[in-house]
Amino acid sequence: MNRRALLQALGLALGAALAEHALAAAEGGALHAKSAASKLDAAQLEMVAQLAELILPRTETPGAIDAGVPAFIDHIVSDWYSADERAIFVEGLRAVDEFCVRNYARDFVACDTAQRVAALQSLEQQAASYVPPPGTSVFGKPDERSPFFFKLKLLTVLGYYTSEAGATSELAFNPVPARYDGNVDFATVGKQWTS
Amino acid sequence: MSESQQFDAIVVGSGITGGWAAKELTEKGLKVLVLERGKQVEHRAGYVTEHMPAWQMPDRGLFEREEYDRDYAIQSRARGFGYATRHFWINDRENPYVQPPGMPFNWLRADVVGGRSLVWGRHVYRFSDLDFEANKKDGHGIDWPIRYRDIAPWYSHVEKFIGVSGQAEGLEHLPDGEFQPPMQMNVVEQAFKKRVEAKYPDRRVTIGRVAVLTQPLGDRGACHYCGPCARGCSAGAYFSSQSSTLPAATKTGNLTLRPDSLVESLEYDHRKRRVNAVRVIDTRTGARQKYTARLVFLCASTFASAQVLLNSRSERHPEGLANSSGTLGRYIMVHYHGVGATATMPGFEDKYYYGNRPNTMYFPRFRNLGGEDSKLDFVRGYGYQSMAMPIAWSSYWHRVPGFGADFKRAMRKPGPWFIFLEGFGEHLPYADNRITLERATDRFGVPQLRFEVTFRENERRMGADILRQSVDMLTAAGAANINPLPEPAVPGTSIHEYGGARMGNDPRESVVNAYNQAHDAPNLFITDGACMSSSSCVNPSLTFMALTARAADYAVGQLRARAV
Repeated sequence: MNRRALLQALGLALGAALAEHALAAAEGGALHAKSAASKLDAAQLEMVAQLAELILPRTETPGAIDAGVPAFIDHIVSDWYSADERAIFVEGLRAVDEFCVRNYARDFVACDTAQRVAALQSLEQQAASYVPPPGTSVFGKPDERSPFFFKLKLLTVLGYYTSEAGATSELAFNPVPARYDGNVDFATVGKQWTS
Repeated sequence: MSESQQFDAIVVGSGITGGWAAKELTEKGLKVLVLERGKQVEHRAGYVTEHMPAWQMPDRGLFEREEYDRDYAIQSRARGFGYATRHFWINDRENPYVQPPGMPFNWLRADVVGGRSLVWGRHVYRFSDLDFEANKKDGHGIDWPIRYRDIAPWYSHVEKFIGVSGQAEGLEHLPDGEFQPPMQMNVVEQAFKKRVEAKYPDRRVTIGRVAVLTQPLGDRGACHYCGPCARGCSAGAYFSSQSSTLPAATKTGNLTLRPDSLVESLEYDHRKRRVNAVRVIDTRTGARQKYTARLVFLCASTFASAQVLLNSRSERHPEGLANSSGTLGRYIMVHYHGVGATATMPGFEDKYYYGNRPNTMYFPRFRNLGGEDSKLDFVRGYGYQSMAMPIAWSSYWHRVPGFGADFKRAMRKPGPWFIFLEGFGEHLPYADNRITLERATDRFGVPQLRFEVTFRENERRMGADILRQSVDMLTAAGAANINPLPEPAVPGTSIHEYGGARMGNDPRESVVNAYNQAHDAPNLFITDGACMSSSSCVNPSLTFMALTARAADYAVGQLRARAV
């Protein structure tokens, strides 16, 4: 089966975006491979992938890695972020490793899940006093000085819920509703609309 | 330089009013040339982002900082501007205008066939005699030469063609129109309406009257509630030049549409007192060309039409064409908007919605209805647009703490119901709120427009009332987390633009007469927002369309009577 046919077959079962990643995995490529323009090194990319998966893990629906979030974050941090934002992000990754070395005598990716969770909780606590500007949306102009945890969570949330996997399986997706009803019980939909 | 092909009429602009002029004039048998500065956007084929999901967009449709800062520094402030719509808006870097220090002005404009009819807010309300008599009663500006009865049949004419969904309310100051069934208010909006109207018996909350179909009309389909209208609608469910007026004009066989054609100025024959040619620049090549016709309709948008006239200078009229009154470019008005409040509405946590309604609620004006209320410290009035909806994940995510499977599960629930009120206040006509030509030119050698447009004491006092009343009404309705928004938007942001070639009976103080005909050039009609002598507080496009259709009818009558 050639790549195109395989993609189509996988696409029917998984959705196109997921299929790309499934195929990349089947072909032996890393799911969060470094892109040509990446400004993160392999170790940083691996951390990003594991951190994103900690925030939105695979459950009965795809997780951050399934949805291609690590590559999205790599792209945004490398190509879209300002130098200041990138510096905060890279420093955040360093601080996570430092936390892990100090407490567990190993770097973040070598930690077990409980240790990683503890590391991320510590980050969240450090960022707890941060109050984002009113009306902050993932799509709007970013607050450049927001702390690392806020940036990481924002990019994970944005990358996941705007991916095909996240938008169509985790949230309710209906691009052509055909009618409007402004009074339905939430239980009948069960999850919020993608948009 | 000149083209041999003869036209009966030239229409400058293909947006909301240009499309209407084209339709009316071609249907009356005239050969019409429409000149549009923007590039072609075909109905359907040109809606390249319609129904496109985020994952198919570059960077998921995220704010493109470098590009927006470079090319769309002003346009990116428009509501709904983004990857999915930016190709309809003008490039700011290539099309500069002048904002003097301390006088910011957002000139938000399209650069495509169809103009802003593709990206507009679609709300349509009739002016009433409260509006047409306002200048005369309180002495600001000059009296309108028309009254509601003059325009009422033309409102009906336009509404039946564009398709307006709305609720008849029987209010004298917000006349009912030819309505398709109204869109539905959601459960929170219905509760809000009930509570506000109970507390304030003199106020009414209604669903927005919008040029969006709730029933099929001709070959246009009813709204399918996908949501982002401004990407273009292949079903033709909302009114645009593409979906409605341009197809009607094309059907007559009398329409020639020329995109990429920027009108630089008009050529005037002093002896005959007529516009005898339209000077055009091909925006792709820079080549200049002239077109002639017996009639010219200026529908280039409020400020662009005034710019064309100001730039039609000669030794005989150094201050611009049709400017014997000296009022050309003056009495510019916008809407005072952006002031209001946001809040959340508790008690509806188990309620949700289905479908994306492209509409808001509307609060008709309730101030100074009897003329002037002695208890108020301002004249005229304002209305609100308002909407309730649950806060979506994209804005609520940072209020959901933690991470992991619990966080993911919590993110499935939307945030609380959110409600906002946003005022739209009437802007008084001031002589020194004006646009003029700058010495600096653009890439084609056309002098840039300079904007000197500010809000004054009456607008600020009105703004204080807009703020107070929005907070009071939200309080009365049981809202929580009420957040007042006291700062008005930069002038122009509402994209409700008026004046510069105002209408009046006296040629000494106005540019056009009661039929939008230039006092100084009887074969020239200015029918977009430039003709407005006051701004009302209601959204203006319906009035622009009705005035255009009325002017076209008059102009063709004059043409047939050989009076122009």
